Amino acid sequence: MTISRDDLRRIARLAELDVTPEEVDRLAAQVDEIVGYVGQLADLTDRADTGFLPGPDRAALRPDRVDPTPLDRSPADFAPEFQDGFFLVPRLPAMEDG
Amino acid sequence: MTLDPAVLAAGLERVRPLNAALAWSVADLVAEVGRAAPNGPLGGMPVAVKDNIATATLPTTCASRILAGYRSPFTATAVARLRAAGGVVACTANMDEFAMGSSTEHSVYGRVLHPLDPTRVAGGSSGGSAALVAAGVVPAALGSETGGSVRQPAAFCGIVGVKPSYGRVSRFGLVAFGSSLDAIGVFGATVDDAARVLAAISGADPRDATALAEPPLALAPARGDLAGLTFGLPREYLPVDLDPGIRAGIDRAVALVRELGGRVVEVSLPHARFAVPTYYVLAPAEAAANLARYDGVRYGSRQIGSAGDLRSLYQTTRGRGFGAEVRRRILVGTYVLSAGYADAYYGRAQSARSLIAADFRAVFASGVDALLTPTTPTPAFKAGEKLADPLQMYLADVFVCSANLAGIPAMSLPVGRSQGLPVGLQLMSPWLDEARMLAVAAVLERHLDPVAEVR
Repeated sequence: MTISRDDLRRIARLAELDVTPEEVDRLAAQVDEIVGYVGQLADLTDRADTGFLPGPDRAALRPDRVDPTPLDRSPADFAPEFQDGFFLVPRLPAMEDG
Repeated sequence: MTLDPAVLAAGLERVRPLNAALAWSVADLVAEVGRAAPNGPLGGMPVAVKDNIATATLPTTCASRILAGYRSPFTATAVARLRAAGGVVACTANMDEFAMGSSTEHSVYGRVLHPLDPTRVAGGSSGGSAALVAAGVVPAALGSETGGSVRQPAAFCGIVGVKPSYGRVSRFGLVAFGSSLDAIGVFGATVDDAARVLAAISGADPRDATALAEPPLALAPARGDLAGLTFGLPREYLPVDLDPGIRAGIDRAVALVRELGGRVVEVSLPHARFAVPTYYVLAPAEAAANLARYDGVRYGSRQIGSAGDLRSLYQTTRGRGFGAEVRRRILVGTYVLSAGYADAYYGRAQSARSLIAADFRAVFASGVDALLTPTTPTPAFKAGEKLADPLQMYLADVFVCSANLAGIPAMSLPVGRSQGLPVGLQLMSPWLDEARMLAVAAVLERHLDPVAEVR
Protein backbone atom coordinates (compact mmCIF):
# COMPACT_ATOMS: atom_id res chain seq x y z
CA MET A 1 0.00 0.00 0.00
CA THR A 2 1.44 3.33 -1.13
CA ILE A 3 -0.88 5.64 0.82
CA SER A 4 -0.82 5.06 4.57
CA ARG A 5 -3.24 6.52 7.08
CA ASP A 6 -0.58 9.09 7.99
CA ASP A 7 -0.12 10.02 4.32
CA LEU A 8 -3.86 10.51 4.02
CA ARG A 9 -3.93 12.79 7.07
CA ARG A 10 -0.96 14.73 5.72
CA ILE A 11 -2.51 15.41 2.31
CA ALA A 12 -5.86 16.26 3.94
CA ARG A 13 -4.02 18.88 6.00
CA LEU A 14 -2.30 20.24 2.88
CA ALA A 15 -5.71 20.45 1.20
CA GLU A 16 -7.30 22.11 4.28
CA LEU A 17 -9.89 19.33 4.27
CA ASP A 18 -11.34 18.01 7.48
CA VAL A 19 -11.39 14.19 7.44
CA THR A 20 -13.12 12.37 10.29
CA PRO A 21 -11.25 9.51 12.00
CA GLU A 22 -13.91 7.04 10.75
CA GLU A 23 -13.22 8.05 7.13
CA VAL A 24 -9.45 7.76 7.17
CA ASP A 25 -9.20 4.04 6.39
CA ARG A 26 -11.70 4.08 3.54
CA LEU A 27 -10.28 7.27 1.96
CA ALA A 28 -6.72 6.00 2.28
CA ALA A 29 -7.72 2.77 0.50
CA GLN A 30 -9.56 4.61 -2.28
CA VAL A 31 -6.81 7.18 -2.85
CA ASP A 32 -4.30 4.34 -2.78
CA GLU A 33 -6.21 2.46 -5.47
CA ILE A 34 -6.44 5.55 -7.68
CA VAL A 35 -2.78 6.47 -7.20
CA GLY A 36 -1.86 2.83 -7.90
CA TYR A 37 -3.86 2.93 -11.12
CA VAL A 38 -2.35 6.19 -12.41
CA GLY A 39 1.04 4.77 -11.45
CA GLN A 40 0.97 2.85 -14.75
CA LEU A 41 2.29 6.09 -16.25
CA ALA A 42 5.64 4.69 -15.12
CA ASP A 43 5.31 2.25 -18.08
CA LEU A 44 5.69 5.16 -20.44
CA THR A 45 9.12 4.61 -21.90
CA ASP A 46 9.23 7.58 -24.27
CA ARG A 47 9.12 11.01 -22.75
CA ALA A 48 8.17 14.32 -24.34
CA ASP A 49 10.61 17.18 -23.90
CA THR A 50 7.92 19.65 -22.99
CA GLY A 51 4.44 19.63 -21.56
CA PHE A 52 1.46 20.37 -23.75
CA LEU A 53 -1.20 23.01 -23.38
CA PRO A 54 -3.96 23.32 -25.97
CA GLY A 55 -4.42 26.61 -27.72
CA PRO A 56 -2.20 29.02 -29.60
CA ASP A 57 1.56 28.80 -29.15
CA ARG A 58 1.61 32.02 -27.24
CA ALA A 59 -0.94 33.99 -25.29
CA ALA A 60 -2.25 37.08 -27.07
CA LEU A 61 -1.20 40.33 -25.46
CA ARG A 62 -3.98 42.57 -24.22
CA PRO A 63 -4.04 46.22 -23.19
CA ASP A 64 -2.58 46.65 -19.72
CA ARG A 65 -5.76 48.06 -18.28
CA VAL A 66 -7.81 47.35 -15.19
CA ASP A 67 -11.29 46.44 -16.37
CA PRO A 68 -13.24 44.93 -13.49
CA THR A 69 -16.40 42.98 -14.20
CA PRO A 70 -19.44 44.91 -13.04
CA LEU A 71 -21.31 42.94 -10.38
CA ASP A 72 -25.10 42.55 -10.38
CA ARG A 73 -25.12 42.31 -6.59
CA SER A 74 -22.76 43.20 -3.75
CA PRO A 75 -20.65 40.80 -1.68
CA ALA A 76 -23.04 41.54 1.20
CA ASP A 77 -25.55 39.39 -0.70
CA PHE A 78 -23.35 36.32 -1.09
CA ALA A 79 -20.56 36.45 1.52
CA PRO A 80 -21.06 34.46 4.73
CA GLU A 81 -20.19 37.58 6.78
CA PHE A 82 -19.54 40.98 5.24
CA GLN A 83 -19.44 44.36 6.94
CA ASP A 84 -18.21 47.84 5.96
CA GLY A 85 -16.48 46.50 2.87
CA PHE A 86 -14.72 43.67 4.74
CA PHE A 87 -15.14 39.91 4.69
CA LEU A 88 -15.26 38.89 8.35
CA VAL A 89 -13.43 35.78 9.55
CA PRO A 90 -12.67 34.25 12.94
CA ARG A 91 -9.32 34.88 14.61
CA LEU A 92 -6.16 33.28 13.25
CA PRO A 93 -5.04 30.04 14.88
CA ALA A 94 -2.53 30.27 17.68
CA MET A 95 1.05 30.48 16.40
CA GLU A 96 2.76 27.12 16.22
CA ASP A 97 6.31 27.15 17.67
CA GLY A 98 7.53 29.99 19.80
CA MET B 1 -41.37 32.54 -33.29
CA THR B 2 -42.01 33.31 -29.65
CA LEU B 3 -41.83 30.81 -26.87
CA ASP B 4 -44.85 30.25 -24.66
CA PRO B 5 -43.57 30.07 -21.07
CA ALA B 6 -46.61 28.02 -20.06
CA VAL B 7 -45.80 25.28 -22.57
CA LEU B 8 -42.19 25.11 -21.42
CA ALA B 9 -43.31 25.07 -17.77
CA ALA B 10 -45.64 22.15 -18.52
CA GLY B 11 -42.73 20.25 -20.06
CA LEU B 12 -40.50 20.91 -17.06
CA GLU B 13 -43.33 19.83 -14.76
CA ARG B 14 -43.83 16.62 -16.73
CA VAL B 15 -40.19 15.52 -16.30
CA ARG B 16 -39.88 16.39 -12.62
CA PRO B 17 -39.42 12.67 -11.77
CA LEU B 18 -36.14 12.64 -13.76
CA ASN B 19 -34.62 15.13 -11.26
CA ALA B 20 -32.86 16.77 -14.20
CA ALA B 21 -34.02 20.39 -13.90
CA LEU B 22 -33.03 22.31 -10.78
CA ALA B 23 -34.04 25.99 -10.59
CA TRP B 24 -36.97 27.24 -12.66
CA SER B 25 -40.32 28.93 -12.17
CA VAL B 26 -43.04 30.27 -14.41
CA ALA B 27 -42.12 33.82 -13.35
CA ASP B 28 -38.46 33.20 -14.24
CA LEU B 29 -39.50 31.80 -17.64
CA VAL B 30 -41.59 34.86 -18.40
CA ALA B 31 -38.65 37.11 -17.44
CA GLU B 32 -36.24 34.98 -19.52
CA VAL B 33 -38.41 35.25 -22.60
CA GLY B 34 -38.14 39.00 -22.10
CA ARG B 35 -34.32 38.78 -21.92
CA ALA B 36 -33.99 36.88 -25.20
CA ALA B 37 -33.33 39.08 -28.22
CA PRO B 38 -36.60 39.13 -30.17
CA ASN B 39 -35.14 38.60 -33.64
CA GLY B 40 -32.08 36.52 -32.80
CA PRO B 41 -31.11 33.51 -34.90
CA LEU B 42 -32.18 31.07 -32.16
CA GLY B 43 -35.73 32.46 -32.36
CA GLY B 44 -36.80 31.85 -28.76
CA MET B 45 -35.19 28.40 -28.46
CA PRO B 46 -35.36 27.22 -24.83
CA VAL B 47 -31.98 26.04 -23.53
CA ALA B 48 -31.20 24.35 -20.21
CA VAL B 49 -28.01 25.56 -18.50
CA LYS B 50 -25.80 23.31 -16.39
CA ASP B 51 -25.64 24.36 -12.76
CA ASN B 52 -21.96 25.39 -13.09
CA ILE B 53 -22.52 28.15 -15.70
CA ALA B 54 -23.51 31.52 -14.24
CA THR B 55 -26.85 32.96 -15.27
CA ALA B 56 -26.93 35.64 -12.53
CA THR B 57 -30.73 35.25 -12.53
CA LEU B 58 -30.87 31.67 -11.20
CA PRO B 59 -28.67 30.04 -8.53
CA THR B 60 -25.32 28.56 -9.66
CA THR B 61 -24.44 25.85 -7.14
CA CYS B 62 -22.42 23.17 -8.99
CA ALA B 63 -24.77 20.71 -7.27
CA SER B 64 -22.67 21.21 -4.14
CA ARG B 65 -23.52 21.89 -0.53
CA ILE B 66 -20.61 24.34 -0.41
CA LEU B 67 -22.40 26.64 -2.91
CA ALA B 68 -25.92 26.14 -1.53
CA GLY B 69 -28.10 29.02 -2.68
CA TYR B 70 -25.23 30.87 -4.36
CA ARG B 71 -26.21 33.36 -7.04
CA SER B 72 -23.41 34.64 -9.22
CA PRO B 73 -23.04 38.42 -9.35
CA PHE B 74 -22.23 38.23 -13.08
CA THR B 75 -23.44 36.39 -16.17
CA ALA B 76 -21.36 33.89 -18.12
CA THR B 77 -20.39 35.13 -21.58
CA ALA B 78 -21.95 31.99 -23.10
CA VAL B 79 -25.28 32.75 -21.39
CA ALA B 80 -25.17 36.43 -22.38
CA ARG B 81 -24.51 35.38 -26.00
CA LEU B 82 -27.26 32.80 -25.87
CA ARG B 83 -29.75 35.48 -24.82
CA ALA B 84 -28.40 37.91 -27.40
CA ALA B 85 -29.00 35.27 -30.08
CA GLY B 86 -32.62 34.78 -29.02
CA GLY B 87 -32.10 31.78 -26.74
CA VAL B 88 -34.18 31.47 -23.59
CA VAL B 89 -32.65 30.08 -20.38
CA ALA B 90 -35.17 27.38 -19.44
CA CYS B 91 -33.73 26.17 -16.13
CA THR B 92 -30.52 25.13 -14.47
CA ALA B 93 -29.64 21.47 -14.91
CA ASN B 94 -28.51 18.87 -12.38
CA MET B 95 -24.93 17.58 -12.59
CA ASP B 96 -22.27 15.68 -10.73
CA GLU B 97 -20.92 17.92 -7.98
CA PHE B 98 -18.37 20.32 -9.49
CA ALA B 99 -18.64 18.29 -12.74
CA MET B 100 -16.76 15.36 -11.19
CA GLY B 101 -18.38 12.10 -12.19
CA SER B 102 -19.72 10.09 -15.10
CA SER B 103 -23.23 9.29 -13.87
CA THR B 104 -24.79 12.39 -12.23
CA GLU B 105 -25.11 10.38 -9.04
CA HIS B 106 -22.70 12.67 -7.17
CA SER B 107 -25.14 15.55 -6.77
CA VAL B 108 -26.33 17.11 -3.52
CA TYR B 109 -29.79 17.15 -5.16
CA GLY B 110 -29.80 13.40 -5.77
CA ARG B 111 -29.24 11.45 -8.96
CA VAL B 112 -30.67 12.10 -12.42
CA LEU B 113 -32.76 9.26 -13.88
CA HIS B 114 -32.20 8.02 -17.42
CA PRO B 115 -35.23 9.13 -19.49
CA LEU B 116 -35.63 5.67 -21.09
CA ASP B 117 -34.96 3.52 -18.02
CA PRO B 118 -35.24 4.98 -14.51
CA THR B 119 -33.00 2.24 -13.07
CA ARG B 120 -30.08 3.53 -15.17
CA VAL B 121 -27.91 6.65 -15.07
CA ALA B 122 -28.06 9.46 -17.61
CA GLY B 123 -24.26 9.71 -17.70
CA GLY B 124 -22.33 12.67 -16.41
CA SER B 125 -21.28 15.02 -15.35
CA SER B 126 -23.80 17.02 -17.45
CA GLY B 127 -26.50 14.36 -16.93
CA GLY B 128 -29.31 16.83 -16.18
CA SER B 129 -28.71 18.77 -19.40
CA ALA B 130 -28.64 15.53 -21.41
CA ALA B 131 -31.79 14.09 -19.82
CA LEU B 132 -33.78 17.30 -20.44
CA VAL B 133 -32.91 17.27 -24.15
CA ALA B 134 -33.53 13.52 -24.45
CA ALA B 135 -36.92 13.87 -22.74
CA GLY B 136 -37.93 16.47 -25.33
CA VAL B 137 -38.33 19.35 -22.89
CA VAL B 138 -35.73 21.57 -24.57
CA PRO B 139 -34.10 21.16 -28.00
CA ALA B 140 -30.68 22.15 -26.65
CA ALA B 141 -28.72 22.57 -23.43
CA LEU B 142 -25.38 23.91 -22.27
CA GLY B 143 -23.05 21.54 -20.48
CA SER B 144 -19.39 21.54 -19.64
CA GLU B 145 -16.58 19.12 -20.33
CA THR B 146 -13.34 18.45 -18.56
CA GLY B 147 -13.02 14.81 -19.65
CA GLY B 148 -16.10 13.91 -21.69
CA SER B 149 -18.91 15.27 -19.51
CA VAL B 150 -21.01 16.31 -22.53
CA ARG B 151 -20.28 13.50 -25.01
CA GLN B 152 -20.68 10.63 -22.52
CA PRO B 153 -24.17 11.62 -21.24
CA ALA B 154 -25.19 12.51 -24.82
CA ALA B 155 -24.28 8.96 -25.86
CA PHE B 156 -26.09 7.41 -22.89
CA CYS B 157 -29.25 9.46 -23.54
CA GLY B 158 -29.27 9.15 -27.35
CA ILE B 159 -28.77 12.80 -28.30
CA VAL B 160 -26.08 14.97 -29.90
CA GLY B 161 -23.29 16.29 -27.67
CA VAL B 162 -20.49 18.55 -28.90
CA LYS B 163 -17.24 19.52 -27.20
CA PRO B 164 -15.65 22.33 -29.20
CA SER B 165 -11.93 23.05 -29.48
CA TYR B 166 -10.29 24.30 -26.30
CA GLY B 167 -10.79 28.07 -26.37
CA ARG B 168 -13.62 28.13 -28.93
CA VAL B 169 -16.19 29.22 -26.32
CA SER B 170 -15.40 31.72 -23.57
CA ARG B 171 -15.29 30.18 -20.11
CA PHE B 172 -16.01 33.44 -18.33
CA GLY B 173 -18.71 32.44 -15.85
CA LEU B 174 -18.03 28.70 -16.07
CA VAL B 175 -16.97 27.46 -12.63
CA ALA B 176 -13.38 26.25 -13.03
CA PHE B 177 -12.50 22.56 -12.55
CA GLY B 178 -9.47 21.67 -14.70
CA SER B 179 -8.41 24.88 -16.39
CA SER B 180 -6.24 23.29 -19.10
CA LEU B 181 -9.12 20.95 -20.02
CA ASP B 182 -12.44 22.72 -19.35
CA ALA B 183 -14.76 23.64 -22.21
CA ILE B 184 -18.40 24.65 -22.42
CA GLY B 185 -20.18 22.17 -24.68
CA VAL B 186 -23.61 21.90 -26.24
CA PHE B 187 -26.33 19.24 -26.35
CA GLY B 188 -28.87 19.12 -29.16
CA ALA B 189 -31.84 17.00 -30.09
CA THR B 190 -30.37 17.23 -33.60
CA VAL B 191 -26.97 18.19 -35.02
CA ASP B 192 -28.51 21.42 -36.29
CA ASP B 193 -29.81 22.42 -32.83
CA ALA B 194 -26.41 21.87 -31.25
CA ALA B 195 -24.53 23.55 -34.11
CA ARG B 196 -26.67 26.68 -34.02
CA VAL B 197 -26.26 27.10 -30.26
CA LEU B 198 -22.51 26.47 -30.50
CA ALA B 199 -22.16 29.07 -33.25
CA ALA B 200 -24.12 31.57 -31.13
CA ILE B 201 -21.98 31.20 -27.98
CA SER B 202 -18.53 30.90 -29.63
CA GLY B 203 -15.99 33.63 -30.27
CA ALA B 204 -13.31 35.76 -28.63
CA ASP B 205 -13.93 37.32 -25.23
CA PRO B 206 -11.75 39.91 -23.51
CA ARG B 207 -12.90 38.47 -20.15
CA ASP B 208 -11.30 35.06 -20.84
CA ALA B 209 -7.64 35.02 -21.82
CA THR B 210 -7.96 31.39 -22.95
CA ALA B 211 -10.77 32.20 -25.41
CA LEU B 212 -9.26 32.18 -28.88
CA ALA B 213 -8.95 35.41 -30.81
CA GLU B 214 -11.20 33.91 -33.49
CA PRO B 215 -14.52 35.12 -34.89
CA PRO B 216 -17.61 33.10 -33.91
CA LEU B 217 -17.84 29.65 -35.47
CA ALA B 218 -19.13 29.83 -39.04
CA LEU B 219 -21.15 26.71 -39.87
CA ALA B 220 -20.41 24.93 -43.15
CA PRO B 221 -23.01 24.51 -45.88
CA ALA B 222 -24.85 21.19 -45.77
CA ARG B 223 -23.14 18.30 -47.59
CA GLY B 224 -24.88 15.69 -49.72
CA ASP B 225 -22.42 12.88 -49.02
CA LEU B 226 -18.98 12.13 -47.59
CA ALA B 227 -17.08 11.83 -50.88
CA GLY B 228 -13.49 13.00 -50.72
CA LEU B 229 -13.20 12.59 -46.96
CA THR B 230 -10.98 10.11 -45.12
CA PHE B 231 -12.03 8.69 -41.75
CA GLY B 232 -9.69 6.99 -39.34
CA LEU B 233 -10.70 4.07 -37.12
CA PRO B 234 -8.21 4.00 -34.24
CA ARG B 235 -7.66 0.34 -33.38
CA GLU B 236 -7.05 1.19 -29.71
CA TYR B 237 -10.68 2.38 -29.48
CA LEU B 238 -12.14 -0.96 -30.62
CA PRO B 239 -10.83 -3.36 -27.96
CA VAL B 240 -11.82 -7.04 -28.07
CA ASP B 241 -13.90 -6.69 -24.92
CA LEU B 242 -15.99 -3.81 -26.30
CA ASP B 243 -19.71 -4.23 -25.55
CA PRO B 244 -21.22 -6.15 -28.53
CA GLY B 245 -24.11 -3.70 -28.89
CA ILE B 246 -21.70 -0.75 -29.03
CA ARG B 247 -19.58 -2.60 -31.59
CA ALA B 248 -22.64 -3.35 -33.74
CA GLY B 249 -23.65 0.32 -33.64
CA ILE B 250 -20.18 1.48 -34.68
CA ASP B 251 -19.98 -1.16 -37.43
CA ARG B 252 -23.29 0.03 -38.81
CA ALA B 253 -22.17 3.68 -38.77
CA VAL B 254 -18.83 2.84 -40.41
CA ALA B 255 -20.63 0.89 -43.16
CA LEU B 256 -22.84 3.92 -43.74
CA VAL B 257 -19.78 6.22 -43.96
CA ARG B 258 -18.44 3.97 -46.74
CA GLU B 259 -21.80 3.86 -48.54
CA LEU B 260 -21.86 7.65 -48.49
CA GLY B 261 -18.51 7.83 -50.25
CA GLY B 262 -16.17 8.24 -47.29
CA ARG B 263 -12.83 6.41 -47.25
CA VAL B 264 -12.23 4.52 -43.99
CA VAL B 265 -8.73 3.56 -42.89
CA GLU B 266 -7.46 1.86 -39.77
CA VAL B 267 -5.12 4.09 -37.78
CA SER B 268 -3.24 3.90 -34.49
CA LEU B 269 -3.03 6.29 -31.55
CA PRO B 270 -0.24 4.44 -29.76
CA HIS B 271 -0.46 6.30 -26.44
CA ALA B 272 -4.24 5.89 -26.11
CA ARG B 273 -3.96 3.51 -23.17
CA PHE B 274 -2.35 6.27 -21.11
CA ALA B 275 -5.25 8.70 -21.60
CA VAL B 276 -7.28 7.74 -18.51
CA PRO B 277 -4.32 7.62 -16.08
CA THR B 278 -3.02 10.90 -17.53
CA TYR B 279 -6.42 12.52 -17.15
CA TYR B 280 -6.83 11.25 -13.57
CA VAL B 281 -3.57 12.89 -12.59
CA LEU B 282 -3.98 16.22 -14.37
CA ALA B 283 -7.70 16.80 -13.73
CA PRO B 284 -7.51 16.17 -9.94
CA ALA B 285 -4.31 18.24 -9.73
CA GLU B 286 -5.98 21.19 -11.42
CA ALA B 287 -9.16 20.64 -9.41
CA ALA B 288 -7.25 20.66 -6.12
CA ALA B 289 -5.83 24.05 -7.09
CA ASN B 290 -9.07 25.52 -8.47
CA LEU B 291 -11.22 24.34 -5.57
CA ALA B 292 -8.89 25.94 -3.03
CA ARG B 293 -11.03 29.06 -3.47
CA TYR B 294 -13.97 27.49 -1.59
CA ASP B 295 -12.91 28.47 1.89
CA GLY B 296 -16.09 29.84 3.45
CA VAL B 297 -14.82 33.42 3.40
CA ARG B 298 -16.02 35.33 0.34
CA TYR B 299 -18.99 33.28 -0.88
CA GLY B 300 -20.64 29.93 -0.43
CA SER B 301 -21.57 28.24 2.79
CA ARG B 302 -19.46 28.45 5.94
CA GLN B 303 -19.06 25.94 8.76
CA ILE B 304 -17.34 27.05 11.93
CA GLY B 305 -15.01 24.36 13.20
CA SER B 306 -14.69 23.22 16.79
CA ALA B 307 -11.51 25.23 17.38
CA GLY B 308 -13.35 28.38 16.29
CA ASP B 309 -10.33 29.81 14.46
CA LEU B 310 -9.72 30.52 10.77
CA ARG B 311 -7.85 27.29 10.01
CA SER B 312 -10.62 25.26 11.54
CA LEU B 313 -13.17 27.26 9.52
CA TYR B 314 -11.37 26.38 6.28
CA GLN B 315 -11.09 22.70 7.11
CA THR B 316 -14.61 22.26 8.41
CA THR B 317 -16.25 24.30 5.64
CA ARG B 318 -14.42 22.26 3.00
CA GLY B 319 -14.64 18.92 4.77
CA ARG B 320 -18.42 19.16 5.20
CA GLY B 321 -19.23 21.24 2.11
CA PHE B 322 -17.66 18.96 -0.50
CA GLY B 323 -19.16 15.54 -1.28
CA ALA B 324 -17.34 12.21 -1.40
CA GLU B 325 -16.08 12.30 -5.01
CA VAL B 326 -14.91 15.91 -4.85
CA ARG B 327 -13.04 15.18 -1.63
CA ARG B 328 -11.38 12.13 -3.21
CA ARG B 329 -10.24 14.17 -6.20
CA ILE B 330 -8.91 16.99 -4.05
CA LEU B 331 -6.92 14.43 -2.03
CA VAL B 332 -5.58 12.68 -5.15
CA GLY B 333 -4.74 16.03 -6.75
CA THR B 334 -2.97 17.25 -3.64
CA TYR B 335 -0.98 14.02 -3.44
CA VAL B 336 0.20 14.03 -7.08
CA LEU B 337 1.35 17.64 -6.69
CA SER B 338 3.01 17.19 -3.30
CA ALA B 339 6.76 17.43 -2.72
CA GLY B 340 8.51 14.19 -3.63
CA TYR B 341 5.68 12.92 -5.86
CA ALA B 342 5.07 15.73 -8.32
CA ASP B 343 7.65 14.53 -10.83
CA ALA B 344 6.60 10.87 -10.67
CA TYR B 345 2.93 11.68 -11.22
CA TYR B 346 2.27 15.21 -12.45
CA GLY B 347 5.45 15.47 -14.50
CA ARG B 348 4.92 12.08 -16.16
CA ALA B 349 1.30 12.94 -16.89
CA GLN B 350 2.34 16.20 -18.55
CA SER B 351 4.72 14.26 -20.71
CA ALA B 352 2.06 11.66 -21.57
CA ARG B 353 -0.32 14.45 -22.51
CA SER B 354 2.22 15.76 -25.03
CA LEU B 355 2.55 12.31 -26.56
CA ILE B 356 -1.23 11.79 -26.73
CA ALA B 357 -1.68 15.16 -28.45
CA ALA B 358 1.17 14.34 -30.85
CA ASP B 359 -0.55 11.05 -31.78
CA PHE B 360 -3.63 12.99 -32.89
CA ARG B 361 -1.56 15.55 -34.81
CA ALA B 362 0.27 12.77 -36.63
CA VAL B 363 -2.93 10.96 -37.64
CA PHE B 364 -4.56 14.14 -38.92
CA ALA B 365 -1.35 15.15 -40.73
CA SER B 366 -1.39 11.78 -42.52
CA GLY B 367 -4.54 12.81 -44.36
CA VAL B 368 -7.26 11.67 -41.97
CA ASP B 369 -10.07 14.24 -41.79
CA ALA B 370 -11.89 12.83 -38.75
CA LEU B 371 -11.72 9.87 -36.41
CA LEU B 372 -14.64 7.52 -35.73
CA THR B 373 -14.84 5.70 -32.39
CA PRO B 374 -17.43 4.58 -29.87
CA THR B 375 -18.25 7.35 -27.39
CA THR B 376 -18.60 4.93 -24.47
CA PRO B 377 -17.48 1.34 -23.83
CA THR B 378 -21.01 0.28 -22.78
CA PRO B 379 -24.55 1.69 -22.99
CA ALA B 380 -25.95 3.48 -19.91
CA PHE B 381 -25.15 1.48 -16.79
CA LYS B 382 -27.33 0.80 -13.76
CA ALA B 383 -27.57 3.38 -10.99
CA GLY B 384 -25.36 2.44 -8.07
CA GLU B 385 -23.34 -0.01 -10.16
CA LYS B 386 -20.08 1.94 -10.03
CA LEU B 387 -20.63 4.15 -6.99
CA ALA B 388 -18.64 2.03 -4.58
CA ASP B 389 -15.73 1.71 -7.01
CA PRO B 390 -14.43 5.12 -8.15
CA LEU B 391 -11.92 3.54 -10.53
CA GLN B 392 -14.64 1.68 -12.48
CA MET B 393 -16.49 5.00 -12.80
CA TYR B 394 -13.33 6.64 -14.19
CA LEU B 395 -13.00 3.94 -16.86
CA ALA B 396 -16.37 5.03 -18.30
CA ASP B 397 -14.36 7.98 -19.73
CA VAL B 398 -11.87 5.80 -21.59
CA PHE B 399 -12.82 7.00 -25.10
CA VAL B 400 -13.71 10.59 -24.34
CA CYS B 401 -11.01 12.11 -22.14
CA SER B 402 -8.25 12.11 -24.79
CA ALA B 403 -9.96 14.87 -26.83
CA ASN B 404 -9.81 17.11 -23.76
CA LEU B 405 -6.14 16.27 -23.24
CA ALA B 406 -5.43 17.15 -26.89
CA GLY B 407 -7.78 20.17 -26.93
CA ILE B 408 -9.43 18.99 -30.17
CA PRO B 409 -13.15 19.15 -31.02
CA ALA B 410 -15.19 15.97 -30.64
CA MET B 411 -18.84 15.02 -30.57
CA SER B 412 -21.21 12.13 -29.98
CA LEU B 413 -23.96 11.25 -32.46
CA PRO B 414 -26.71 8.72 -31.68
CA VAL B 415 -26.47 5.88 -34.19
CA GLY B 416 -29.00 3.33 -32.93
CA ARG B 417 -29.99 1.35 -29.88
CA SER B 418 -28.81 -1.84 -28.29
CA GLN B 419 -31.54 -3.62 -26.32
CA GLY B 420 -33.38 -0.33 -26.12
CA LEU B 421 -30.41 1.74 -24.94
CA PRO B 422 -28.76 4.40 -27.12
CA VAL B 423 -25.35 3.87 -28.76
CA GLY B 424 -23.15 6.90 -29.52
CA LEU B 425 -20.63 7.30 -32.32
CA GLN B 426 -17.80 9.67 -31.49
CA LEU B 427 -16.27 11.92 -34.14
CA MET B 428 -12.98 13.61 -33.33
CA SER B 429 -11.55 16.30 -35.57
CA PRO B 430 -8.46 18.42 -35.99
CA TRP B 431 -8.09 21.59 -33.97
CA LEU B 432 -10.71 24.23 -34.98
CA ASP B 433 -12.38 21.90 -37.50
CA GLU B 434 -15.83 21.94 -35.83
CA ALA B 435 -17.67 23.18 -38.93
CA ARG B 436 -16.68 20.19 -41.03
CA MET B 437 -17.21 17.74 -38.14
CA LEU B 438 -20.77 19.04 -37.67
CA ALA B 439 -21.46 18.89 -41.42
CA VAL B 440 -20.30 15.25 -41.52
CA ALA B 441 -22.47 14.41 -38.51
CA ALA B 442 -25.49 16.04 -40.18
CA VAL B 443 -25.01 13.80 -43.26
CA LEU B 444 -24.88 10.67 -41.08
CA GLU B 445 -27.86 11.85 -39.04
CA ARG B 446 -29.93 12.14 -42.23
CA HIS B 447 -29.26 8.49 -43.11
CA LEU B 448 -29.49 6.86 -39.68
CA ASP B 449 -32.46 5.87 -37.61
CA PRO B 450 -31.24 6.70 -34.07
CA VAL B 451 -33.92 4.56 -32.41
CA ALA B 452 -33.49 1.43 -34.55
CA GLU B 453 -31.92 -1.61 -32.92
CA VAL B 454 -28.35 -2.05 -34.17
CA ARG B 455 -28.44 -5.86 -34.25
